[in-house]
Amino acid sequence: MSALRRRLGIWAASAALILAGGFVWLAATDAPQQFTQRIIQSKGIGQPFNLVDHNGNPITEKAFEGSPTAVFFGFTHCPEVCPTTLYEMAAWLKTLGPDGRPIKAFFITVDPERDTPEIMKSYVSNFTDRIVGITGKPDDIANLAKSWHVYWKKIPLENGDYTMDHTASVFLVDAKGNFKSTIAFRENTETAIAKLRKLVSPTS
Amino acid sequence: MQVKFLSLALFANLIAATGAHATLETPRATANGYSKAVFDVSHEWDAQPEPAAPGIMILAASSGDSAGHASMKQPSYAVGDLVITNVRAGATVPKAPVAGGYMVIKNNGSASDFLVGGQAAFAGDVQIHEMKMQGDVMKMRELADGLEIPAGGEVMLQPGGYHVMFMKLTEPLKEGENRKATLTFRNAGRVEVEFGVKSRKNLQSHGMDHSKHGSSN
Repeated sequence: MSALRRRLGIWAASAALILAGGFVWLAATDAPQQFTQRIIQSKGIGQPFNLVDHNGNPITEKAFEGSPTAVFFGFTHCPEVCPTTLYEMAAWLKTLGPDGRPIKAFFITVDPERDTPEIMKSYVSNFTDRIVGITGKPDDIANLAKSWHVYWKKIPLENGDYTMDHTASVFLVDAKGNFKSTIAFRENTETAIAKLRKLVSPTS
Repeated sequence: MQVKFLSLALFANLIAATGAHATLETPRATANGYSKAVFDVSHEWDAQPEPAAPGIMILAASSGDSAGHASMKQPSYAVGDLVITNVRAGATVPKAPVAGGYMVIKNNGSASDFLVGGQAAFAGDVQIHEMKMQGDVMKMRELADGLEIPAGGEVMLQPGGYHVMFMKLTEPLKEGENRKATLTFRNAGRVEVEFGVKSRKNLQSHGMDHSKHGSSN
């Protein structure tokens, strides 16, 4: 009797341990940090995508290949971070002049419901002709943002409208598709330009 | 039999322990490395909602301006116990749906007041928002109960922090313009102010105000 009870006890204990181990493991692999790590260690950032550029043309991950690339996620109903960043990106590229010509720059909306290609174009083109706006189906945008480890969240407002929380850094990807670094919101201009220079010519 | 189960339990335990270690340790290190650069620059933004001595900075910047003393006077608005200065808004590109409005509000009274909203002919809706950077994520929240202006205190609305959110813009705000709008306070009531529209560069209160106020006020 007591032997049976002991055996049952061990059964229960081992089952509990296996279960607990599984949960710990799941929780750990699910952590967002793990995702960042995977991105940084992976050869290419993100996964294949099918979206629409601000001219209404299809755009895929191929657009990020072969040239150093700067990518910013945002939305047009954004009072400060997005216009400031677009304004600064335009200024960096202007300052770099011919040195920055190889850089491709993209503004990807996290608010595809409101940001149609037309709206993206009329918005982005007010800052520069060097940045291409990207939008698409909400699910496709969500997948892309996830694969770039971009945080975004819709926040309802009292008037029925909404705003978006989102990662405000500019992602820098080299010509081989390797994630290199980020330029933070309001990062010092010289640092930002130095990062872009390094992106274009890693050895110099 | 018992031994077998015991060893299985130990094995599971081992997996759990090593699994947890391997997956928890490395990402933590990477996450720190990843967000460090971002965090370094955001600290100044985090610090901004605590105004140091903005009134002094404004005065210093104004008197340092060489362009005529009379025209440099900051437009200032009084309503109840509140004094509102440095009222400005960010210039927008055409078709931009939103704009931010900024100012300094001083409460000379003995009770808190709250900026709860406003009205503007150029915007379909006016709300009071707070922006915050959390690491590399920009978060924006509507202050549904209003922005508290504590008794005897001063609150700065400025880029990176509290702002008046002009929504559903009916037309762009152009640099150099002065745009009328009404602010609503819970206790002091309404006051009409003029937002001096400034380029992004000149919006920061310490970046000061190189625009001319001209003859207005």
